Amino acid sequence: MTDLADGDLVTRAKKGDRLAFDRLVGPLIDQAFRLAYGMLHDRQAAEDAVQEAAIRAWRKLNNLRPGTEMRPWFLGIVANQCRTTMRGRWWSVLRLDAPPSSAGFGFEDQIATGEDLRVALRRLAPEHREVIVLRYFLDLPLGEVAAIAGIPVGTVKSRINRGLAAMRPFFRPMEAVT
Amino acid sequence: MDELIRSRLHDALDVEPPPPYLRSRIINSLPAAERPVRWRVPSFQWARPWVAALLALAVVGGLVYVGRAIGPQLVHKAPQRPITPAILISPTGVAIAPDGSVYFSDVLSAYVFHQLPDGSIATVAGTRPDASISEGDKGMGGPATSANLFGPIGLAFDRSGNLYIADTYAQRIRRIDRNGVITTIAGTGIADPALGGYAGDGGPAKSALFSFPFGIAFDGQGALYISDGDNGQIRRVDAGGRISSLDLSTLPMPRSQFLPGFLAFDPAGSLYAESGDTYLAPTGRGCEIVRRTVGGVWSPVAGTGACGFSGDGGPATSAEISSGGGIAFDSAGNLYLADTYNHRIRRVDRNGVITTVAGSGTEGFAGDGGPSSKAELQFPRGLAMARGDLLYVAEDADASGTPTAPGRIRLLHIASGTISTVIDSQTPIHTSG
Repeated sequence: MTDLADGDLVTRAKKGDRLAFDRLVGPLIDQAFRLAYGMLHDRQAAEDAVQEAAIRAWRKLNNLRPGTEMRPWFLGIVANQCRTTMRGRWWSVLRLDAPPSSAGFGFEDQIATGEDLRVALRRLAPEHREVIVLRYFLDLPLGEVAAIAGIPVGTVKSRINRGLAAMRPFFRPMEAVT
Repeated sequence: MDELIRSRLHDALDVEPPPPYLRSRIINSLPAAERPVRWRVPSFQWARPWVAALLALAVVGGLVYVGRAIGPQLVHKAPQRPITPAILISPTGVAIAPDGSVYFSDVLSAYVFHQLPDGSIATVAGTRPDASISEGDKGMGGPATSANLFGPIGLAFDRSGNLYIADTYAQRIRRIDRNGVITTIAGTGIADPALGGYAGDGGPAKSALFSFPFGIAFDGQGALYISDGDNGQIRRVDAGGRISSLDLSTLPMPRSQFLPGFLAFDPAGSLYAESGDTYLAPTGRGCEIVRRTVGGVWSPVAGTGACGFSGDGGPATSAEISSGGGIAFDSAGNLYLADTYNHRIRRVDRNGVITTVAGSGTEGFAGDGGPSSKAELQFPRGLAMARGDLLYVAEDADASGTPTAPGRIRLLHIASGTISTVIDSQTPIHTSG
């Protein structure tokens, strides 16, 4: 889906029409929430991040030109908001330092559980986590991942490779059984 | 390998969809005060409120400092959550009460107001602009001034003087009885409060689903008609509270282009519906006014379906409009429509000829006290005709206005052809109802 920003809706939204803004952004809320959840691993935090991102998008409407692809534009703001959230002091205390599940890393002789993967994903550098979530959880093409993350496609590929390398132990058992 | 990773991540991050209220919560949380402001030639008048505000802050700060110095008992503890004052942002729907007073909705500030005899306004329903739909039907069954609204647009009074509100963003219809008690009479909002749904025909209206119910109007028998905007339907709630959908098979336009907004009945009992992209800028097609006779047959009244501005002095059905606004009738039976995106009020006389009666086509608020045809209008939306052929016009938020009170209510004197402002940002607001 690469819906373009409808010129009339953008014009109305820029004039303060919240319903027009809703028509522009509303269809993207589901993907925005999934992106935020994939990055933050917390439903409430994801809701808050999407809401905050929407408010930022509202404030940045003047930068939105008719014909802009809406999804990369809005999801880029969501991703940026998630990065901001993760940079917060209390987030790092409460989330990144949270104890891993009982499985932890290195259980290569058993099938990794969903919790293992979530822990592994949580321990990735935010920039690696972001591209992996966009590519493999939101199923976006590389070009759109690059647009959302604000980096070249080549950098997307290298970040994905590094991220997957760090998570590889959690895919290997499954590889063995598939 | 890609598919394996994708599959494993989907399993690991399997998450319930976002809560259905999130979309409404987002829209309701957008700060109206931070809309982009259009640049105008500086007059330095803008500095006055800032200077006043800074002086006020200095005075308050000084008082607090002195209070603390004198003793803690003199300093009141600040409330944990400041009360959001009622503000006028985006007047949208208008209705005239049986006693002749003016009621209007404000979709962005989420209030319904009415005008008091001294010219000030008071809240009728709503508690604060940022009320979230996730709070549910807070306040229903109690005083309307303590109940949340989430985006009121259409207003109508029944024959008994009860006020009905299309709480568009809550996907519900509210009623305020003459004692000021508010209840929900149609719509559950349960399926998806953000987007609504389409269900419930044949059953009680309270169990029905809507998708952005917009305009409302009563017929002569007391049945309530509701434009179910995003469903492209018009719903009817009979006096017994049962809901149905009108037959639209004779509509003069393709069903996909029928986007009903404001509704009105003429004195003969025919229903008129404005079709456009309701609250949105028209997107090229669908700008039309249609009529449904008492017998249930639809026919065009104004507009060609193409959005634009043309045709004054000719047949209304050959003229282009760019509507999104209300419909009203004067005592002679002429129809008035708010041609929202042309910033005009247009009249269709009983011979079907369309003319512009207010608005030069320029967006703005200039021209009060002068001829209405030369005045500026700004996104006129709701219309209501009061006795004496006084047409009240709700004009929507202004991108270049002050953030707190950009909209206004204008009064068009049909007989004299003059226009004036009756409610604007300077109008005192009472929040006690």
